[in-house]
Amino acid sequence: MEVIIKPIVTERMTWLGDTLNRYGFIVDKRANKIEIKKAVEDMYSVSVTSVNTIVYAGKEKVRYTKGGIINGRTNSFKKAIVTLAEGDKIDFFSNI
Amino acid sequence: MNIEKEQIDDLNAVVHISIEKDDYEPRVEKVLKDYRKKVNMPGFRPGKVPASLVKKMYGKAVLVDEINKLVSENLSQYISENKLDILGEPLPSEKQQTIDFDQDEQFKFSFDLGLSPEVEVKLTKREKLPYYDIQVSDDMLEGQKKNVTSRFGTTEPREEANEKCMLKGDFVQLDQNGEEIEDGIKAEDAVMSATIIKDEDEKKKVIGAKVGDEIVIEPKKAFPNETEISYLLKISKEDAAQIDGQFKFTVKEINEYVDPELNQDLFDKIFPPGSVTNEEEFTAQVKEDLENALKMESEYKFSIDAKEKLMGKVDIKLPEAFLKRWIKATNQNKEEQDFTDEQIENEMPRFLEDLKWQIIRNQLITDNELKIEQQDVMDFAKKSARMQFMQYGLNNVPDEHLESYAADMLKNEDQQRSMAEGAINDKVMDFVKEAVKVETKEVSRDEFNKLFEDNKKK
Repeated sequence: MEVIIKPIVTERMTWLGDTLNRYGFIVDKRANKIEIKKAVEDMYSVSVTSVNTIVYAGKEKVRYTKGGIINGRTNSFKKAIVTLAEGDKIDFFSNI
Repeated sequence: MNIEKEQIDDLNAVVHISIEKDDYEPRVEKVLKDYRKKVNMPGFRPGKVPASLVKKMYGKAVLVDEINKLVSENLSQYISENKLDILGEPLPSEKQQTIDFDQDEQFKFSFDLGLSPEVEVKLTKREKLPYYDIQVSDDMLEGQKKNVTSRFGTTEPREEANEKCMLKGDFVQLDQNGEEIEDGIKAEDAVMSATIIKDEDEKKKVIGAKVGDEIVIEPKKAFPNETEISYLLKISKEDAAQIDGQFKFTVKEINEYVDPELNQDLFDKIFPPGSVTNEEEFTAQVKEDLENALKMESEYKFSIDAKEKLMGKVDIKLPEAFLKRWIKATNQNKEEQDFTDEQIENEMPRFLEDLKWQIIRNQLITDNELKIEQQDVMDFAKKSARMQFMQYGLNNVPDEHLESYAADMLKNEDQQRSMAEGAINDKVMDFVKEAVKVETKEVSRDEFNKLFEDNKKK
């Protein structure tokens, strides 16, 4: 199981990182906070002080087409907001 | 930034350009800043994308771009500042080290230059060049007169056919007994003339025929050429070759072509109304036109001779290896048009000749400060427009018409360039004519044509 799926790169997350030293990731829904902490520490060699997680439900999607109504859902996913110890930093843009 | 030139020999040089970080850094920064304002990325409002993110995404492309610009700018500036006369364009040197845009902060570029050789073109009155003045003979004048008037000739019906008459009628195939074959070959409204019949006996049958007469002729005898048979009988060439036996020709119409009468009406049709009023003037006018046309040919011949003379006189060495590379490089980008080495090898001598002539010409132009102005280009355009019209047999195009046509031609950039080229060529030729001793030789048309053939043989 890959714990970290991708970092969240948005304006808000950039601001969060600049002011509170917090970084967001989309993570596997089955991963718990301990696993996430370990994964982030391993991947970016930083020390994590706390992890907050949010599970987003998939949105219900309805499409009205010629052949009838199509019902569906988008996938649900887990976000993790990771607070780093003071002095540590993650720069998503420097490495490839 | 550091630019230095390494002279390999008289014709080849290498220019080294080294670029430091300080040279390109500010420019890259500026472009990235611009990018930042425009870039549109999900998760960010326009203009709010972090600089580091933009740099990561576009940094390398911008860097390469800016360095390229910097290099080409500096190279061309260097060339113009040092007044280097180069042939073709600078090419990346073969010795160029590979550049790592990711790691390096200092870049070094080398360019090969092909230098134009120094030439000295001196023309003195001691040089002689022939100018062939083509004489208008009476035969030529008669022929031209006929040519000019023939378009206005008329055909008149005749009762009886003579040698020049055109006969129109129907062909019907006959069997051995002289009876019509019902499903034989038939051709309606065929036109023939006694002049194209080769056999004397058959010819006699046709001459003297009247409208309504029935003539029996043998196509195979009368027209040894299959093409004529196939045209007359309206059948294919293969069938025409098979044709045997006799045909009956029923004459329906006899026409004769008559030269137009030389009168005021005709003069006005051929020349601007009122400019020609009698036969002498007409003859004079035709002669003048003919002389003008011949003069152009003379000029052409003179320009070829002058070119040859100048090329022979000035020995020019060219950086051939470089030029070959350059031709290959410039032609590579064109779609699917692969230039093989062999092709280049074949084209090379001609290309070099052209180039040599260009160098000589440019030298003449700069040495003698020849200049063309808009008016010259316009004049040349008018001249070539007139020539075009003359090809269609329009000799009396009014001036304002020519002018608008020429102006139209000049709107096209390609045309304009070629017109300017032509104009400057004329100027150079005029100059050459002034500078050397021109020997005018009077020749007849045939002699003149022979000169050309001799030239080709060489």
